[in-house]
Amino acid sequence: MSILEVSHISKSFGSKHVLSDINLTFEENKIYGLLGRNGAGKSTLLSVITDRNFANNGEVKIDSEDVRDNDSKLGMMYLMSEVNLYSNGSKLTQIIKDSESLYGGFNHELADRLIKEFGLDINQKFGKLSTGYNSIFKLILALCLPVQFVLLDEPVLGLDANHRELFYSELIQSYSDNPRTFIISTHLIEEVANIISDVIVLDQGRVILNQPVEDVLAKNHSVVGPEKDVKQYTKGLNVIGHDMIGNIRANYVYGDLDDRVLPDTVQLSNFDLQKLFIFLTNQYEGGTDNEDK
Amino acid sequence: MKTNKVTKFLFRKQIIGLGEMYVLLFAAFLVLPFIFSLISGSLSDYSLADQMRGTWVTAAFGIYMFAISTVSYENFKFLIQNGVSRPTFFNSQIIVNGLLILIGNTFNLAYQYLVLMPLVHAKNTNIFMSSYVGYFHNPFVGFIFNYLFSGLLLMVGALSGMVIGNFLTLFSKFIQRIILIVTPIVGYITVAYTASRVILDDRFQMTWVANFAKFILGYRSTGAYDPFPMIVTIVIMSVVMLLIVRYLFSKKQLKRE
Repeated sequence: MSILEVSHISKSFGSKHVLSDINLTFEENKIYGLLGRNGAGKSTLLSVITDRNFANNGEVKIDSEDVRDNDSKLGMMYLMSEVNLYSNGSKLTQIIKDSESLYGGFNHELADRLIKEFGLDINQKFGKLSTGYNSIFKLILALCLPVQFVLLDEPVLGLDANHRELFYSELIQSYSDNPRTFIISTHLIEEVANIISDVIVLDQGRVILNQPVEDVLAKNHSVVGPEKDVKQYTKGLNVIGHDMIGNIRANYVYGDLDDRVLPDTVQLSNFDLQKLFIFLTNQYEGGTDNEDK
Repeated sequence: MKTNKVTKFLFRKQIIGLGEMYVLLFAAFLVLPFIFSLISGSLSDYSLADQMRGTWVTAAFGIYMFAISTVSYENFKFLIQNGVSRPTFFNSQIIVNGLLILIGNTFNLAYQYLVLMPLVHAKNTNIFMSSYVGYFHNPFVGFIFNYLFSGLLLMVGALSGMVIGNFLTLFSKFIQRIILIVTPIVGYITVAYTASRVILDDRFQMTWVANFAKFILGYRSTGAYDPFPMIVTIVIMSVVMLLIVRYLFSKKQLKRE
């Protein structure tokens, strides 16, 4: 059982703090959603985890061993990102061959099927690929290389709706055939909400949420009704946002509800991950700070 | 062992590049002049021996080694994408450079001894042959030291390329451009100033600098130059540069592009 641990990672570019004391644990055979707005530090964190860039502080370990300059641990991860690290002049077949050699394996059967399903011309040069097919090619590599940790940074960049749908279904199929850890960094929350088992929200270089999706959704409550009743009912709760339609108010609560009595005029339901994300990340920008007061 | 896999990967890439360079050079130096002679009707003036007389074949390999040694960021990108650590990349690159030098140096000397010397009766085919070969009375020992000396020169050239290339990759493209523009200017001014002062100074012949240079070059008032001080100097330089390159490799990171 392999565990990826990120301990006290901080990273700055000049005077800009991109990551501040990040502590995370990625367990085996789970699909994590790493969510955050643009510039939240998602890509930098993945870059540090895979030793592409150095952190200013902290360490990344797999099974208690530092990954820094460690071939055996680095070989357990594959990071697919929008940054192109393959030579534009290389043929796709050659890249697959070289990657297979360096990782010590490749699922050709799956790759052949994916190449056919996505309609990828494998005899092309990497530099000739469109943005969408560039992502598709790297996704095929990510799914077919024998690694324990698959890190996908904005995996559906440039993919049309059909290809996105196909990718998600292939991802689930690949996971069920060969369970391993996936870390999917994205801001398209709706698309991954049904896939991920755990959610991590990064905001301004800090982890503001790190929990199983099930637990998170169980703590999401929307309280809808007349403004006065809703305000009265949610007083003292962790209200992270609200909507108003005429005289009807919806207060969004994150956290456990206590035993208070629900008025007949007020309805209680759950809201989705995307809404939670928006409220949480806005809150940290000060937009709806003190919402619950 | 990942080092073996990375070594194979780098070697395949760089040996293909070397082959392509030789094909291009042979085409440029031998085939093109022949075609021009054929077209212009002066085929009787074309001489294969004349075309081969120059030392471009041997010089080309040294230039190639220097050039490919300066370029490492592309390989770093591919290798870090494939879970290869910096020390493994460094070890493999050094092994590959060693193998290429072994092949290129063997080819160069074979070309000198089997083509240049018998065909066009060339004598001073490289630095060793023009300065140090007379030190050895036994031609076979002379050949061995020629091989060693040429290999060491190629090694120091390749390591110089690695130091320059890997130093530059630590910076952004903008800073790299500034360094590439400013360094030759500062270097030229420094060399020009120093040289003019030295040349103008009649006492230079007596200074320790001149004596030290003579010692390093192996100058002997009795005649033939002694190659050993130079060999030792090159070995020391190589070790120092190897340590610098290893340090620079350990600092490699992906740039924000």
